[in-house]
Amino acid sequence: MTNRQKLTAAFGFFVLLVVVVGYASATQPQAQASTPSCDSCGETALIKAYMSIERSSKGIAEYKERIQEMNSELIAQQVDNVAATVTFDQPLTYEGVQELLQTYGVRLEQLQARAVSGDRRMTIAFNAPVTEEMVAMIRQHISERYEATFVGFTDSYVVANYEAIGELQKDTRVFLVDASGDSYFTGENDDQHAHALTWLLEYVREGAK
Amino acid sequence: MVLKHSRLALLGLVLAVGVALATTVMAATVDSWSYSDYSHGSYVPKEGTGQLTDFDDGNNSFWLYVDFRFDSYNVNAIEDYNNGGDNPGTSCDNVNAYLTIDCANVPDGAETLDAGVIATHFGDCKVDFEDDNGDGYCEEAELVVFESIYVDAPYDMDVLWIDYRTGQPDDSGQIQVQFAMSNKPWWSGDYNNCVQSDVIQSTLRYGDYYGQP
Repeated sequence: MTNRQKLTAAFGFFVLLVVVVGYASATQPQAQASTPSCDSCGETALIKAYMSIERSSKGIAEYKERIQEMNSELIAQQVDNVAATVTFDQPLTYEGVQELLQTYGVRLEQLQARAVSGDRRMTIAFNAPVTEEMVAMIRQHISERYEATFVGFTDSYVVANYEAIGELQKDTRVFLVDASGDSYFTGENDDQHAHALTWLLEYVREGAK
Repeated sequence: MVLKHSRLALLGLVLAVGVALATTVMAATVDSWSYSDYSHGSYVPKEGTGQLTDFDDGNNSFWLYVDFRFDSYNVNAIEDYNNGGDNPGTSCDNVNAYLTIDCANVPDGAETLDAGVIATHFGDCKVDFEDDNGDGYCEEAELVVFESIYVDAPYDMDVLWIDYRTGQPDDSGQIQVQFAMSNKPWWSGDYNNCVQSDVIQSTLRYGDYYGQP
């Protein structure tokens, strides 16, 4: 091998080394970026988003518009198995909830209801599966223990495909389908459910404190 | 005379045993807490009660009732946490933290209670059932409060536990009730309370056998 060939080989090796090291350092920050940092321990965009909703019709409308834009992205990207929180426009009966969810092939994970005892409201959460017998038992329980009257089901946590998200948000029985807790948006490993707008809606519509 | 004294002694003994047994039974299903100060958390009510009800055969379940009231010191502290900034203590500074109540099933063996329903008089609150170990049973019922809390108003958290025990020797366990302040993202199971009470507020034992809380 001549000196010229040796020099060429050495230069080639150097270039290869630069490329390998450069590639490694370029990919390293990406790996670090995907690792959750302790910033997740603090406030998050989602909790901030809910707590910063202005307690007015305008504030709720703005939030609703923002969430619906996010839904449009889910639909455009054809995302399946979306974790969503469905806030009903008005309290529904047990049969009403079943009919709504079955119409769009939505899987129920949790169901919330409102009851009233005196001048105070009660929140009742049912872990799925929710049977008619279970609901009857709970109505009896809150009546006997708190003299509370069952009003109806107000919101739910569901898992739905993008087609169902689109159909649900067009249904007049639904106020909002909020998928902002889905991992598609949060970047977390697990899907979770955003907080429902039930309390805010009651505050704005009925002046309930 | 000696015989009369013996009968009296026997009667006394029976009464004492009866009272002791009754107390034991009560202690198995009711556990109250009472603190003289706020050293277990400024957000923890100084007094409260946890109770497991009798088993409901028809519905294969029993209730946990947790009842308490907040005083003005508690409410001021909770509002301070809610507002963020320099919060009480050192664990939750510069975050908005919210009152959180965790009711957890801690079984001695296989897990066979499932949290099925939560009922509460708290205002705007997020309620969750958690199955952290993925065995299909929710071992934790959790409540996070976003709305104002009223001084001296009665508050409660009722949890219905669906009972799948079959009477195995290790089917006993306990329900633990604990107060905390949480700033966790509610979609993340990995990060939880930024500060929690250093003690369990209420511990309620349940026995081995099917149908026994």
